[in-house]
Amino acid sequence: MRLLIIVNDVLERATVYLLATEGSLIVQRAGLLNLGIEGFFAIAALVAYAVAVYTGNVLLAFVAAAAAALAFNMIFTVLTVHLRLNHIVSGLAVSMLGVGLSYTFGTSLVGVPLPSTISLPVINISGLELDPVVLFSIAIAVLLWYLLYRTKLGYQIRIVGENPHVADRLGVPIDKVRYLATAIEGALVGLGAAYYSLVVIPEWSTGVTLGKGWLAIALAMFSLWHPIYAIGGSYLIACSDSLARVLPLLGVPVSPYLLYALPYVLTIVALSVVSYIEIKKKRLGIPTALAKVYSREERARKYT
Amino acid sequence: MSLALELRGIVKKFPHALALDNVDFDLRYGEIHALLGENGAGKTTLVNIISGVYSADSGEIRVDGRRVIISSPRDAQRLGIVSVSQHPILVDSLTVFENLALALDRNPQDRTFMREVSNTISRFGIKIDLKKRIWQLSASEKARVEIVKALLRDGKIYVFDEPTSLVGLKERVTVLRIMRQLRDLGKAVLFITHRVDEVYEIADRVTVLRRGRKIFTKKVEEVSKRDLLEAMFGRYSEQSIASTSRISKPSDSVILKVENLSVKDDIGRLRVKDVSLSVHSGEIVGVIGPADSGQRELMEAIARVRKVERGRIIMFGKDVTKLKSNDIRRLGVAYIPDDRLNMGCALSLSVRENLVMRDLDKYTTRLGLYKYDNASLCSLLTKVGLREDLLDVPCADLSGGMIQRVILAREILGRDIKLILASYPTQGLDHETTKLIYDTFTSLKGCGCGILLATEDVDEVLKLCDRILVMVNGRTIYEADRDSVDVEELKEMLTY
Amino acid sequence: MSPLKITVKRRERLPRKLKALYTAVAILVSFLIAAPIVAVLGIDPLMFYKYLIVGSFAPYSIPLTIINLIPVTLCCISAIISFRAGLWNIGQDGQYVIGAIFLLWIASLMPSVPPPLSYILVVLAGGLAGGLWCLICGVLRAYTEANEAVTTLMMLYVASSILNYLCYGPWRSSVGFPETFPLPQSYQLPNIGPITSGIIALAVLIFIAWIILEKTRLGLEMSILAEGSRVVDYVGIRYRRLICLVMFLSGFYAGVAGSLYLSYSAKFLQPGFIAYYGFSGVIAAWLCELRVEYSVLASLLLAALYSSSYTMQATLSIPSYMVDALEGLLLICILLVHFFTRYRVEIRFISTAEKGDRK
Repeated sequence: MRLLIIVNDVLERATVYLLATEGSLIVQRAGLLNLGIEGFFAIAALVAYAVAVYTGNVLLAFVAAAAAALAFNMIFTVLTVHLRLNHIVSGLAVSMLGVGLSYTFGTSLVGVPLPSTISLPVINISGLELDPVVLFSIAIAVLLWYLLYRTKLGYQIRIVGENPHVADRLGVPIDKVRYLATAIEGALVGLGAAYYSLVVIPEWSTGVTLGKGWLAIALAMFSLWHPIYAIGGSYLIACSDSLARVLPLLGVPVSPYLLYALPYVLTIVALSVVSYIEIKKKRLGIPTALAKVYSREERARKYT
Repeated sequence: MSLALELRGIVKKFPHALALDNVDFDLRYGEIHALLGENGAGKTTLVNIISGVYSADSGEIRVDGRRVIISSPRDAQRLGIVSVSQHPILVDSLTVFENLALALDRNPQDRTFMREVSNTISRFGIKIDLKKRIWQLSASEKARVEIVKALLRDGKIYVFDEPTSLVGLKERVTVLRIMRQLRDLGKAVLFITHRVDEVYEIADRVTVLRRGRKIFTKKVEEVSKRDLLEAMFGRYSEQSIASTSRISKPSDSVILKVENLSVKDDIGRLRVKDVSLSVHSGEIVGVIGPADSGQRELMEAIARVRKVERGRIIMFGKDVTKLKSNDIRRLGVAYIPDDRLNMGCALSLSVRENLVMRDLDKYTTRLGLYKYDNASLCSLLTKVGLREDLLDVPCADLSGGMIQRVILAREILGRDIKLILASYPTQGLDHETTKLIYDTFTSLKGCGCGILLATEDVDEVLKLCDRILVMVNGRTIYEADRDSVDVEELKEMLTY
Repeated sequence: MSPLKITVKRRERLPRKLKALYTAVAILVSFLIAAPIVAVLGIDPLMFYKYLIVGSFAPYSIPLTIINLIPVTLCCISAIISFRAGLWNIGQDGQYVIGAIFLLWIASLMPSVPPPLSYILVVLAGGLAGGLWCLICGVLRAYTEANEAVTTLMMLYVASSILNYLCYGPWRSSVGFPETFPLPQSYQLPNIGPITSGIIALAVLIFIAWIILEKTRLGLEMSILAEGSRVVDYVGIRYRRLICLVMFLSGFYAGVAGSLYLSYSAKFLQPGFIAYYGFSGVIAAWLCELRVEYSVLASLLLAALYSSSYTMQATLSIPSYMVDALEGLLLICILLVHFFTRYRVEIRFISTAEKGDRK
């Protein structure tokens, strides 16, 4: 029985990571390093919670969260794609703004419980609880794989991230592709955030989402920007996350506060190992232009 | 014949350089119009403006008599302008077919498109394996893919940017044939070249550019070769370059010896295979070959900025295979890299910092603080013909020629130089800087300095070098003294 | 398609005065945008602006502003050092926490070290710990090419977990609150009048950073490192060693920020010790265009925001996260200035006929 609780916990947490990772993966494939994810994750989590509290409608909460994240992510896109500004600093700005707004406006929701109507239908297979979002996240991974490797848009996203100069000369509409990628990212991360605040924790407190968004960036990197590998990465990190909660309950004498660091440590180690293998193998077809500002007429410059 | 393309008063400025100065130009349907000019004359800038890579600072463009604005390569494609680039625009990690599909805005998984491509290929008689990935192709094969890409696009105006400069003899014939075929189909063909003979071979009209200005447009049958050359180079400069070639007898002492060298490129392919060569003092040795044959990697390995897989490099009798670039600099070696912008200089740093950056030991006190000697740095600048007030300007604001002069000043002047490694030192440069480099090389050679020169330019090796090595596919296949070189045979090998 | 044609062109360098003016406008604009946000929270924007100024620059608020100024400036320099070298250490907050933790540990081992020496220990312990913490990411970057922006951020959460562990676990000394034992008296930097003497340490550290960046070979090598690997190979810099050194230095400054703050203000650790001075430092670094000589000026603005946020929290009950939102807005506005001082935007109306045919 205990094992089932753990498995269900892992499923829920992994779903959040998976949706966010798939989102981050797709923009990184298009050559954008979007640290703003932390910001719109927080915004979407709040919007979902607020909509759920005020309307009691789950579906509406999810849709509103996705829309909010998508809209908020456009700030980053304008800054980096049109204004050619540094990805890391732009992302940080968006992320601070998002986190700040979310918890400023979220204070009134602290301690407000979700209405009882907020629940997802669950398919119960001998104790294993699968809700539609869990299944949807897996489907999204497969769908994104198809998008990236089987459609024209996918090819365009990949070459924009690999070599924007060539992509531009081939006639690929770089700005449009990047907008589309960030829109997909916004929507997916928004869904993940909504699932997080409505299902995984289901309550609102200040600072609940911190660190989740940035974790997704690293997850996408060590999944080698591959939508299917990202499933493995997300479940791995969800396991370690879950461990932090479960071990103290089982009476293992280890501080939960230290275990909270486990997903982050694991991520750093995995990212380093994968990066190291990557430089040894010198693979082709990865987003080599990641975080580089593209400007048609200009030579690369340092700070912008 | 109606006008396909008209350019009026096109001006394009780059920082500290005027690339195009009020250029007018027109192109008709059913003609091949040659755009002739030496390196740095502004031909490629003009092509880039037509194909939407650059936007002009002023001037207007008309297509079919209607004024248009071309603000991206995509805009150009929509207007029916198809360009064949000198350096093929292809994604290395994808297959030939996937590249073609993306260029045509089709899904690379589309089977019916595969048939279309095969049909076009056989109709124009081009051989290419569609399933191969681009990085596996040779330079000639890439050029072929670039041409197929253009043919698949149903355009009105075709722009060929030096299509013959980087391909083999067989490809050259094919390219010229395809241009004729397109003309006969009633298309407008713009042919960019720096070879006068090709103008007579194929073009109907010719426009000459020199230093960003249009000199004239004439019918080919009404203009003599002499007039064309004069228009390209100005009246006297043809002679002045020829006079830089003085033959002095090289001494017997070997200063650079390379034994069985093998080198890999950035993505781990073996690009230099078992190459041996030597340079004597007072001798200029040219390594020439088709594009991408491994000359760059060879030079980088000798200059110690690239890892050596196998073999040895010996300078002045000392094994330097394991040393770093700044170690051999101390031995009296100068290196002029081909990648001027990414390797040769630090773009966002000032000219002063670029001048000192290879000699930080010399310019640093024991405490780690650095000290500049402005007077000597200024004298370096004046020696290469640059103004002293450029010292605080970032290199990013300089033109390509000025950057090369800064590199020249840092590498060669003010020190005791015994060996120069020069990789494509004049590529894409203006006439003045090219002449400065040739003069510097010949005078240093006179002082007993040895020079190893990698280039793709046949005229350059014939003018400058005492000994010529031909490198194809990573191997040296031919070596001869200049006097005994059969020029026709040499050209044949380069189009291998 | 659209009748507007917008072209973006690089412009000539602007005079410094004009740039400063633009920046001032950006700061004002970001505060103006804040007004409607505050209004939505049900607070009179005029009161908001009043407390924004009173809370930071009224005579009685100045000591508080200076208390915040020191860590923000040090984190700003930390960011400048790494950004100058093209490395993206943005986990200053993690290094800040580790610096403070290490100082508290050292001090608890040697509580009786006499003042002048203990003050030096404050700086060295914090710097060393922060530097080594950041060096981990530096080594990973140098030898495995793991993206340092991502790893430094991850390390921030690891550091914060360690802080929580210590506060709730072995170092907890109060029953009611998760607080640690206080720093021994001899390690606490005294005040000079109403102002902390930490300001002297700050001045010295700024000067050292300026010397390193502007006057030494190391500073020049860092600028070359930012230019990319090919020129680094050409110049013959041992880039792995340099990356590690830069990351250590960058972490050193952030670590000192933590240990100094513990020593002159916080006195003991608690989970709320992370005040996100690091992110403010990154903003300040961008505000002063990565120039150490202006770092104090830029940091002053952000420090002022911090101290007014305390006042506003107390008087207007504006949540403290409002500062983050405001900082985010400020950074976006500064970024806009960066764009407009580098590029010229030309907007022209054109007839639709001029745009390319769509087939």
